[in-house]
Amino acid sequence: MVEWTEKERSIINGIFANLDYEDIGPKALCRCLIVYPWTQRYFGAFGNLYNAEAIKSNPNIAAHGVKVLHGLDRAVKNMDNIKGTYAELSVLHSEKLHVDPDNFRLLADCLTIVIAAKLGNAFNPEMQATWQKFLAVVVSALGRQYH
Amino acid sequence: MVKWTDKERSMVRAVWEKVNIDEVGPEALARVLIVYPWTERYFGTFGDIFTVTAVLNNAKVAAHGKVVLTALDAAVKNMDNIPETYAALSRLHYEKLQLLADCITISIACKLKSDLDPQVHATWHKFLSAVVDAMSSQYY
Repeated sequence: MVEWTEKERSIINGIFANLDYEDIGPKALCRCLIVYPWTQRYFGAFGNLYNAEAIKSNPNIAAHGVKVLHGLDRAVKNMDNIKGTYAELSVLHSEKLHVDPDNFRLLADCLTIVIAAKLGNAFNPEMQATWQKFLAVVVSALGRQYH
Repeated sequence: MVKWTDKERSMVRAVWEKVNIDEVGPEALARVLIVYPWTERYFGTFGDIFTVTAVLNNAKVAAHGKVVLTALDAAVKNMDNIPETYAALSRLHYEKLQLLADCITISIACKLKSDLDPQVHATWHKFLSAVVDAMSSQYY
């Protein structure tokens, strides 16, 4: 089981407490679709994704970005059982959505960049280390039901 | 060979112009050592790099960070010939540098903030991927 120090818990809670979900969620998902264009294949029903401007102004993408970020809430509230928390979502992404689990890490990387851009120098190496540990656990939990 | 549009070239240069090598270099390398502690193995001669504070205050880490970012300048100036630019350095390093590339991008995101918009980020990512590839090219 993943162990968290008090400091790590407060870093993660601190980042989420000050997070604007409506801003960060869409930004992270858009970035993923733009920087790693093959991920667009999962959003065929979302409308116009033909170029960066279209992606950035697509309301379906924005709404889904917010949804994904709120999904992370569950991990923040259950840091001692992220694996169990995401069991169902893992099955959903594997059996219904058929998402390549490698792409979870790419979205996590984009979220990290968006958070870094938002927090600036406050996103120091120690905070980055804790944040990446948290996302690595989330990514692992989401990939768990694939095999 | 990697192809670059004029727009991509100017995006890479625009990011690079805003990068303060003396600031981002040490910070990016410090991030690597702190976020991915196993990388300490490569810096056996650097003294104390075993705690966050030690890494952030280590003069050799800072100096090497600057060396690394200064070397990145060569790629910015030779975007059409990145593999050859780094052939000699690749023989020297013998290890993958993806983690360092990731931390450079994160440091730049902290400094440039919204200037590192998605399109610019995508182009910068493509550029660093070419650099990382070139640095791995002499392993086999």
